[in-house]
Amino acid sequence: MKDINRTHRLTRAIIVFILIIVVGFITLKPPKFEYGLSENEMLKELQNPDNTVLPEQMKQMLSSGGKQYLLVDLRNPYDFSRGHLENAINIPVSEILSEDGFSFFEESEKNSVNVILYGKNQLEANGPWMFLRQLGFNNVQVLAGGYDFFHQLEPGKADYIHKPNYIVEEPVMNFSEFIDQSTSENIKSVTEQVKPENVIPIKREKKSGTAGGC
Amino acid sequence: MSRTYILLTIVAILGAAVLVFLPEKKNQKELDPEKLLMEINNSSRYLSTDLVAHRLIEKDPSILLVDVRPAAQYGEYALPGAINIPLEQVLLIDNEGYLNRNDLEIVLYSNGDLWADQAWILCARRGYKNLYVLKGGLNHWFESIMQPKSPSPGSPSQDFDMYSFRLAASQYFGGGANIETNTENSTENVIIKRREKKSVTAGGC
Repeated sequence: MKDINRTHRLTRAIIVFILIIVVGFITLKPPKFEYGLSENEMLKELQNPDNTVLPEQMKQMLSSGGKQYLLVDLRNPYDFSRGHLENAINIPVSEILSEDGFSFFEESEKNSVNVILYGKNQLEANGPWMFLRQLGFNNVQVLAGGYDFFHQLEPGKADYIHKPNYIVEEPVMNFSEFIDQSTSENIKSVTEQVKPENVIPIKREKKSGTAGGC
Repeated sequence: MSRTYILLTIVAILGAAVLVFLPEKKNQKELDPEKLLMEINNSSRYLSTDLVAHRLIEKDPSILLVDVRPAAQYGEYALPGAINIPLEQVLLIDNEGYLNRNDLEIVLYSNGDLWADQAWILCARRGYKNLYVLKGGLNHWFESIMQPKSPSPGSPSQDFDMYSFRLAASQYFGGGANIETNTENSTENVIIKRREKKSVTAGGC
């Protein structure tokens, strides 16, 4: 009698245990967002020039009027209200994963329409672009130079052909040459003006033997 | 009794089988996409050139500069004490020891700040902590620290403080800003006199 009771208890315990696991599996939701691109694939994408739209190209696309792309302004609503590119939609960075923001990107991918992101400068759009690419959106591009640069592109405001300052990774000068020049100037001026310093070290004389510590 | 044990074994074996066929999780440490976006949207990773210059001059041991430019550019010029991990190699396992540390603040830099930021985002997805980006990169470093522009006369005094700091910093880092003004006072006679001890030391304790 005792034995039977114990088996019953064991089976009941096992059933409960299994039930808990099953319920756990059923209620387990898959994560809302998942990466569609591995980090190494992302690294390769960084080298791909097709991911950036140059300001000149953007200008042409805007003037030609063909609507095969969507423009997304990632700046805050205040900046957006003060001025933005033609037909741009405002999705601040923090809103990308919100319901509206995310469904916008999903829909654009379904319709295979290119989305061009821009921020104040290229850096501001780079993070969101990398983020969306890593989620697996292949139709997302980024505007080189960002809004501030594009804004100066208005005729007569900036000479962008001779001053491609939207290429932020171009060194502004030859760094090593600058350092060499300035250090050689430094040495010259130092030898010209600085007289040798008179340093008179006076040595302490020992007067008697130390008695020694401890 | 033996039936229960058989039942238990079957359950255990079934459980093991389920575990074997569970979809493989690639990287447990990988940051959630939602968290990654929050990190990307957080601008506290950008350190100003002045702050970094300050810490380099103070020889702050808790800062490590990482140059993410190609090796050739690093070979030509790099900030003092910087190590080189080109952007393409940021994800190599060998470099994890440099980039994922608790005891050091790693400051990534490039010519601008785009490459450094890209490296930062790749590392952030991996969950690396204590990573920063030099705002403006070397280009801004040379504009602000190495060739400081004197503020206009009406500027607030902080601007002048910053300017004098930048002048000193440019000297420290080997730049040539306004050397003439600083070499004038260099003809002092420095006489070091040591105090003489008059009595016999009796020893410690």
